Amino acid sequence: MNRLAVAIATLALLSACDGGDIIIQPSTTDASVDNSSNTTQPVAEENPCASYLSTGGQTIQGELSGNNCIYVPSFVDAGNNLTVNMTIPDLENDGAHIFEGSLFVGKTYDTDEGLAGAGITKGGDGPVLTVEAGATLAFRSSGDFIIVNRGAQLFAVGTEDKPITFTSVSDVEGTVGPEDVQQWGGIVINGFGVTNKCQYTGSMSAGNLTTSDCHVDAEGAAGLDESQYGGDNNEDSSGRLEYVIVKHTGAEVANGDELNGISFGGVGSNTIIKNLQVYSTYDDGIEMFGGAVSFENYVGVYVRDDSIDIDEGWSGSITNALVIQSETLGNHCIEADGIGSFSSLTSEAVEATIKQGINSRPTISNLTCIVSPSAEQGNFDPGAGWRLREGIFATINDSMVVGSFNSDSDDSNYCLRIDNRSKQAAQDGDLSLNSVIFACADRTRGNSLPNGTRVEDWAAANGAVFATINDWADPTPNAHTDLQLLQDTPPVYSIEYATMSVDGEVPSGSPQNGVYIGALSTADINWAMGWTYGIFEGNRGQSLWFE
Amino acid sequence: MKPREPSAGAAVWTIAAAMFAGIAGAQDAVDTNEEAEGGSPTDRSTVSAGPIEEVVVLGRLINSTQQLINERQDDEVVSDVMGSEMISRLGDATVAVALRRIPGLSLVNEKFIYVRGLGERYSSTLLNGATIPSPDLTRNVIPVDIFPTSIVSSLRVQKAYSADMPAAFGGGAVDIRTKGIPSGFTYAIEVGSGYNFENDGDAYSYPGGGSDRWGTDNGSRALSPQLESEIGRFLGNLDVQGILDRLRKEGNHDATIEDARRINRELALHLNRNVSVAEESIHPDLDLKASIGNNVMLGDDWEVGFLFGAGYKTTWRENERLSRNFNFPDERTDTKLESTYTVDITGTANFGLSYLGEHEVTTTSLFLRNTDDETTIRDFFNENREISDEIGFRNYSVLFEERELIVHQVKGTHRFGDLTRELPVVGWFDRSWIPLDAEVSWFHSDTVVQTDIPNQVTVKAQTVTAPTTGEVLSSVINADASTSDFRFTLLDDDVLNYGWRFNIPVSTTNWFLEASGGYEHARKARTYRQSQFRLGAFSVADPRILEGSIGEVFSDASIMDPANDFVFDRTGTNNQSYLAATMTEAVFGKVDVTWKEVWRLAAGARWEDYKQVALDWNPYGFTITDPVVTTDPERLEQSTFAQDNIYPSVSLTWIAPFGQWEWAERFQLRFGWSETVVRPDLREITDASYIDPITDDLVDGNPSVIPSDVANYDIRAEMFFTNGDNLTVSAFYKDIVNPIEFFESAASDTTVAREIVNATSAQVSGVEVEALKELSFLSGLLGDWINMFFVQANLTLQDSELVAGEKADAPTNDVRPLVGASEYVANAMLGFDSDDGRHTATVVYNVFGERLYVAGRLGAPDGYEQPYHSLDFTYSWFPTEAITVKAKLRNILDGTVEIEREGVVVFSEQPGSSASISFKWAY
Repeated sequence: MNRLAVAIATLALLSACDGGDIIIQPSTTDASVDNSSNTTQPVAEENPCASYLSTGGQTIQGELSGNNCIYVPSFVDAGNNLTVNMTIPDLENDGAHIFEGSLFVGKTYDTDEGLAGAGITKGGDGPVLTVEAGATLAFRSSGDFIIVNRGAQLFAVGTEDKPITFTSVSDVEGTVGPEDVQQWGGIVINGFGVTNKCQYTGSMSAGNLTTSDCHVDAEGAAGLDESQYGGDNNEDSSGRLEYVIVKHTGAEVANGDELNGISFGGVGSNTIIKNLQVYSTYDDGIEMFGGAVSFENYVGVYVRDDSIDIDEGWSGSITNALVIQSETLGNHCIEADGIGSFSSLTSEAVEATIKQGINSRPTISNLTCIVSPSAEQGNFDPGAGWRLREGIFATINDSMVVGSFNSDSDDSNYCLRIDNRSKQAAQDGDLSLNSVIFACADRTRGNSLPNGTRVEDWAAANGAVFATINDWADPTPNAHTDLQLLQDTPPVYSIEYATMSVDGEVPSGSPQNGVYIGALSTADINWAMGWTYGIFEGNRGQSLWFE
Repeated sequence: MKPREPSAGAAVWTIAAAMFAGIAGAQDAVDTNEEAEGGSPTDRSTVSAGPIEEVVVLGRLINSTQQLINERQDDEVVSDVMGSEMISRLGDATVAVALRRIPGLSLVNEKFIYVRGLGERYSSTLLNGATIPSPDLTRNVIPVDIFPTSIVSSLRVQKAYSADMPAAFGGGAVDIRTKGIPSGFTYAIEVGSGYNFENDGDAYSYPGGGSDRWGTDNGSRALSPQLESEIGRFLGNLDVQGILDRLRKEGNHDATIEDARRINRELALHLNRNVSVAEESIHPDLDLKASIGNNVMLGDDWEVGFLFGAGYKTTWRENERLSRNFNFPDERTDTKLESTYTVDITGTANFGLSYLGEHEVTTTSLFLRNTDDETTIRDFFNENREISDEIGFRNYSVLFEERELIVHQVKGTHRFGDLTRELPVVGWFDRSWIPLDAEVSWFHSDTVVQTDIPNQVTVKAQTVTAPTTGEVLSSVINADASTSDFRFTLLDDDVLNYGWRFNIPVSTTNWFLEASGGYEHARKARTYRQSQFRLGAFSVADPRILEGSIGEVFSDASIMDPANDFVFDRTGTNNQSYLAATMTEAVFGKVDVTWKEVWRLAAGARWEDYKQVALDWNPYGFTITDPVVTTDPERLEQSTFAQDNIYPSVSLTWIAPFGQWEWAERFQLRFGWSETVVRPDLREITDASYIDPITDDLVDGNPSVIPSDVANYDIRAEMFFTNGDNLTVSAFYKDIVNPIEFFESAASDTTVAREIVNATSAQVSGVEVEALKELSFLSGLLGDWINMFFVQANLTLQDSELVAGEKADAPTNDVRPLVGASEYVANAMLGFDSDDGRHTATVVYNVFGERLYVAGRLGAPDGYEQPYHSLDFTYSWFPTEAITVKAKLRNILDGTVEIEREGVVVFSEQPGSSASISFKWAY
């Protein structure tokens, strides 16, 4: 057991009076003490824990403790990044991989020269961390989190039966409440994709967009925790995430910066993300800072801030997504910004960015948002639907916001809010909502478009249907016929569009694709069943508040 | 368990301090040949007798400054000097405020002096000619507001480099020269009071400590030793899982998560949470000063003198700062209401010993304490909560910052004049080889600065606000893990500087030559330690308690109540603390040749060997992978910087032969050229990023940054007239290659990141005009009363240009002015001295032109601080010889400090007018 090795390094700054030199002599003093009784491992038992070969040719391996593998900071930690390929296996008996430090894959570089020197230029050229289906990775404390640096890749491919879980030790130990957050940091994935925090020449449409020295400091990162993202390769691959669940995240890593469930910084389109869930996160569920990674089948449950947050020119898509807020906490289902640092830019700079085509241009289809019209609670802003602003050109199809399960608390629980440059985008047709239904007591927020049209009128005339809600209305067939959008138990399944009821009538129009809008339908494959946590009976810590 | 964190940290410091071992009990140096105690009673006594005419009136002003003018005239390079008499007339309380009256100087952020438009990086500050440490948390720069003018004998600003001073020279070097030994017995007692009209009678405050009135903490804010030892016990892991893990390692196998939770919360009880912000009625300023000194002859040959001084000052200030978002100035505002209680304490002790008038040893000891106790409520809105949303954010914060400077200097001068040569002991040797009046001087200066910020607390809250005004209607404290931040910061900066020099004068009929040379050694050791904790509740049983005060929300009972889910931890990155050291060895040689008192050429060169190291320090590192400091040779190598180089200077002066110029008593023309260097600051060469403790910006160092080379060119014409009038016109040009500049760099979301890079080039050129004119020439027109007035004014016109170049990260403007450089700075003073010598009055005006405050990135417009007009009035009445009554009105125009970005006011602050009065009894 070397786990208690305590080292106190001592620095000596000595100066010979006549020599005139500053002498640096750090020395390492081993002050290790281990008072724990001998829980020596049985000899010769095979160690299933992850291992890698150090640069010195030594095998570094985690240590088996009961069913779990323990990885001390000398295995990996901030400043002791994983720089070679490694596989984290699925452990028997639901054992977890417990990390006592951070897990950073690859090194970060903040100059072009640094990247070139390391042979990392376009992505996919760094170390690979592979996580086997069924594995659980757990982190112990607030300062510990995961970074997948530019060039490095994370292959975490689970299955419906064997999803991969990233969570806290408190969750593994069963001492965490269903809605507890800030139990550990979260995940940061960085790529070489396009972010409008950097300066580019050329344009997206001409296909000649290039940049140099694009190194955006990722959120909450200083000192050994720092990392950078950004570049001009929107086709970058940061790996593959399938059937992955990220839980109880959001601890503060540095000054006031809390981590999201997963932050995608400039992550490229060749990254495959399919069946991803975030559960009980303090900050946002997923936040994309530029890049073009796309998501198929996303679930956000009990996200306290924004379940989907878009910034800095993300141009990927989300297909099939289910967002369920907590009854009392949670802000937007979507908060979507077009241009980073928008509030300090002149309108000329904003238009130049749009002209280059590097403002956010996402496509979102089949999203169901079940939001709680709660008042602001503690530190969190009121539950609301979609906030589209700062020059985002978004296309949202076949989706709905249901904010009527509870009493409306104030006029901040809007379904739709369009702000500043995005109003012009709406007027110009650069922002479009097609076959979407809004069921909130406060339909919209914000002033009119530049041409004077009210946001609600614009939306209604361009593919959105607003339900009339007085205070609240159960949108299931169990209650009444005026509003019927969702059905079954739990009521997260969309009713077929042609049989939906809004203000007692079938909503106008039809889905862009298929026969229903929203995430799930009882008539279709239930892609969320079997692997997600917290929604369906049998695999959750509490029942849903709107059942 | 063995020594853990605290002792580890202490060990580091002890050893770092060993760098200075053997240099105890220091001393220091003062120019005793400067004017005595700055007061004017002796002047006045001669003036008050008899009828007065213009010569006498002006004579007084000139007498008191004649020495300084002489010094300026006789200086081999371009310099400006301001004496205590002038400072007293101006009524400026700190060196920072006084320095802005000197041509070409401006004050930025109320702390830093910019010389000729070049930022704080380019101006160096010396105390009696010696290098001193800095209380600044991240840099070497000296915030000159720490020095009260009461200790100052004169301020000398050397604008052209000479080889006998440190080569790290950009815009100029400020030498603060403290009061020396008086010429005879003297004492003074002064009592004053004042008030700032921005104060509304009640200020924010919080329960502090019992010795706050002395500007020091009585221990109530200190980081608890028990907490420190517990951090060691838990190897820095104070989170619940870390505690549980440790408990089990300690042999307590039955420890449960509940045990760990309880311990976690108990640890939080070691923090001083009694910081509830409330309003308190405030008192007017208080200002007390006393000094005593004497100078006596012991026999015919020996002279001893001393001067002791002490001062105590307290002020209350209330301050409102309003920031507005550039694009959403009405929706996203940030209002800071700050109350500051300031205590200044000064103590000085000087001794001097002189033998034969040719040998002199003087010591200066100085103690300065400047403590600001700030309580701030900040109400703000942002992109997520705008004013129209009717909800916002609030931060409460308290900051107790104690800055202390302790100086010991000793200085000696030995002139081998006639008397020394006649000494019997010298007679034993062959003295023919010693040139007459050869002089050897030496100094030794040992200086320590400490900045201590214990228990700096910020607590976050939410507000419900009024629809259009944003006025806060109610607020509740947040419930999450990072609701509050408790920070403990301690900076120690030690500088040892010593050296010697010789001067050998040789003269013939037409030639006068002085050869000089010397050696100087300066070294600095710094430790900066920041410990940071967070405390908050994930949830509370009764949300109504969050409506209570900070003390109530974080009471012992509230934290320990298991129904409230409180959690405590260390926070912040592991490299906020650092260690740094610099060392400079220098040798210089100069010749100063004068021909027929018409041409004077001074040329010199200095060789400097400079070394620097800055290491990230993790006081809470307990593992080999997370060490206290890195042991990786590559990283260590990257933390160092060394350079040696030779820095030349040449100065040529033409002095108009006496009597040649009818209209001027003296006219001289100077030319100067020198090459100097500006080196990267302490942490700028390290690769790691850190969070600036003041601005919260993310700062990226840059190991590839190289020193900036500065070429300086000066021309100055000086005219001095018989009646005391004078006129000086200077032109200068500075060319900086690879200027070290901070640029904003790309950072995610709302984070502001800055990185240090070498820009391509910078140039500054300008003209400074300075004049003094007595107004008697108007007496025929206006009557004799005008004889009692004089005007003094200076004007600086300059142009600066920075070319950012490729290394900068997408600045909005690749070519722009230097930060803080105004196109014009003007000072004007109207002085009055009554005929009977019993009244003096001064009105002084200062204005600076628009200056760049912050440079934008990627299309964000640059922010410019707008011109600020300040007008001050000082009146002194001398009812008797011993008594002075002085009244001051400061900032009479009561202007608003404003920063604009493309016409949008993004920041405004009202410094406020103030009035004060003082009584002084002196001999």
